[in-house]
Amino acid sequence: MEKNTIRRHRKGLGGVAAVIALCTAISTANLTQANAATTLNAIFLPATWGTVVKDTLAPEYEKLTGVKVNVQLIGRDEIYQKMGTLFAAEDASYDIFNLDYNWIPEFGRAGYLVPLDDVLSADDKKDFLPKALAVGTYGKKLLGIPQTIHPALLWYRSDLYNDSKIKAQFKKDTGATLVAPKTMKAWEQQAAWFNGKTFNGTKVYGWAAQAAKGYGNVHTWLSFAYSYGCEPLNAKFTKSQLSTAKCLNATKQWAKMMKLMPPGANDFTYDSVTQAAQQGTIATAIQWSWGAFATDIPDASKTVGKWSFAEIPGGDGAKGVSHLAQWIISVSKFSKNQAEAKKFVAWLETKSNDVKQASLGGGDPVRISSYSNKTLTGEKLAGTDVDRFRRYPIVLKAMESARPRPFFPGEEAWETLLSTQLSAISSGQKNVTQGSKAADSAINKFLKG
Amino acid sequence: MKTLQIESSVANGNSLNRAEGSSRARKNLHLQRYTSMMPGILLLLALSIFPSIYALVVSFQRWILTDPKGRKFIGFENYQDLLGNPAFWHSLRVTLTFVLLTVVIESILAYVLALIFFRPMPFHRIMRTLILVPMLTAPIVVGMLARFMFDSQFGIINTFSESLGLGRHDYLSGLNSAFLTIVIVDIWQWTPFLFLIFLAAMQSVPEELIEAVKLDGASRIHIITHIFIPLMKYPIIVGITLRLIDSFRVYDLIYATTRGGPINLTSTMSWSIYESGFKILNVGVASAYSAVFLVTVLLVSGVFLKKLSKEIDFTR
Repeated sequence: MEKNTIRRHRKGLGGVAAVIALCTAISTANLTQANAATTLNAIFLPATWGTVVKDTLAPEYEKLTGVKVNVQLIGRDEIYQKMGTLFAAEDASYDIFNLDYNWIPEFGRAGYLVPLDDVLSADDKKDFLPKALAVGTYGKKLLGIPQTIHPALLWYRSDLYNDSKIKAQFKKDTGATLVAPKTMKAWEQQAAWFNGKTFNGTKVYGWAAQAAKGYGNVHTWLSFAYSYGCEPLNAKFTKSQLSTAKCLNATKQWAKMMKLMPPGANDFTYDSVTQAAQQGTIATAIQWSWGAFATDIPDASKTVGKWSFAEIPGGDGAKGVSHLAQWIISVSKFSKNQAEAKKFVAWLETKSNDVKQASLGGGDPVRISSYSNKTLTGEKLAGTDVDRFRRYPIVLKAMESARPRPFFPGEEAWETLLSTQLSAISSGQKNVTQGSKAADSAINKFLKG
Repeated sequence: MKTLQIESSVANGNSLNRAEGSSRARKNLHLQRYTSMMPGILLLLALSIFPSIYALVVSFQRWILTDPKGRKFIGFENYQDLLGNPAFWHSLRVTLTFVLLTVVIESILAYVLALIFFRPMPFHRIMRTLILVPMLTAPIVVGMLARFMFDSQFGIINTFSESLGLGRHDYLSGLNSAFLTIVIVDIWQWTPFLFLIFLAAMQSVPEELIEAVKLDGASRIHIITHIFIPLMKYPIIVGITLRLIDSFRVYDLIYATTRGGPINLTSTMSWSIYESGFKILNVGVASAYSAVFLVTVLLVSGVFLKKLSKEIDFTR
């Protein structure tokens, strides 16, 4: 009986099933549509400022506004590659990108980034560090909101520099006073003196910095270059000038200093420098200002509170100039949620969030007001009376004269070409003149092409 | 008569129907064959043939990803620039040296290991499994492991060598050691692959043959060179060809360790293609490089195979 009933009504049952399926499909589509309208996809660097956004700020933003922000953390080179390929394909998969500022001209010229001038009010713009805003701007348009700045600073071990016995011995051996150096020659003398000596059972080298082939050695070299008054390229970025006297002097000093680094220095990455600083195997370093946080982690560092900071020493009578590092947040031209993306980016860099990011370890602030905010300036390292952000006065000073990398669309390729020759110089395969000439040749060929 | 005529006409009609039927059946069979091949063919077209042709087309263009308006046809300019660039010839030299060293040493080591494990011995199963572990590990993981182990400051290898009074060395950043270190790591990872192939081939040699030549007074060396090798000819060729092609493509290991440095001493062709395409975003040059790379691999592996199959063809 049952079988006959089903057979008799099968058309009707089929119709009901079809209606149910249609309704389900429509409601799922509506839900998806609704969700898709309030979901942003972002790529950030897996540095502290990226993890702070992913773990803390994005969930907070979702609670406040209902807009979900999916944050994917990928490495520096991978972000660049992803942006290049996604933009070329006009792909809308990601709305927001965390950029190294030197990519702004390249992607800005191609028209891949949304102008963000309307995101910041005039008062807001005044509160940002001027140089921070400048490197987010290309073609007179603000294409990226600064998220964190970290100029290169000279780090020095205050426990060694302030030790009376060490000071006395240094004076006896060199005739000079052991203080934070203001010139390259003074710094070289100090690094050479420390190099290879043992203090408190630990062998110490003169200094460390990023030196691996790639952006590492170029970024370190730039602090030397600028501190000697070297202009790596002409004003129009059409000619390489590495063989000028000032640039050669800068490179010679850099190559000389490379010999005072620990073994394996030619391979040193940011992490290698951090490890060396944490283990106390170096007396000084050139490193990003923000990186100091790692030396104040009790579980990982033997030098908690022992690092102090100074401006980059000057070369040949010139004032020391920091190479500026900075990360920026931009919105993709191909994003289907540009308005929402702009709101999120603006919210990330409000005054309170700039302080919050710094407080959570997310990198040095980009707003002037943050540097006098008591939440940051009054904070001490746990169990000590050492200021957690004791570097801030020096960071502000360094930012007055800090210089960015050559700010033009071919900068990333310029770094790749230059780094190979710097690697040849530091490993002794070429001398400074040969390496600089080879770099000029390769770069000029690239600039012509 | 009528019946016969009717019968014959029916018979004729039937035979006509049978002929038509079998022709239709043959057509259906052909159609079925082509239809069943279509998914595979479409996949091959989409994932292999079309991208290759597209890459070839792009190799004749100036195309930088961040300069979309500058994309244009430039003929053989990319190829001319490439072949006129000393860096290209350097990376070719580095690649060929890497391939030669790794394949030759891996083959010899794998053969020796296969000989050792040819006969059962105590714990041979566990030992064989342990030998295979490097091969089962992802190349990028092996690279990162190598980076940590060879680290000049904190690496375990330098810690051991220092404790033995041999001092510390820049394995991955030294001018004379970086390339060799990469070669050693590759050998460590991929010798087990050839070992597996050679061992299986060795174990398929008839036992009676080995006993027979032993009875005839053949020495071990004679058995190894004149019995095993000729009978293992094809597995050897297959194994070495696969390793040859794989060695050309080395990338993960270099990415995780030296990044083409120090200077450009470990810049193989695949690394240079990556730099052109993804560091400089010059897709035109990267495509031209890839085309030249493909031709190089085909030429070298072809020459090698021809020479190898002649040399070990003892039976002909």
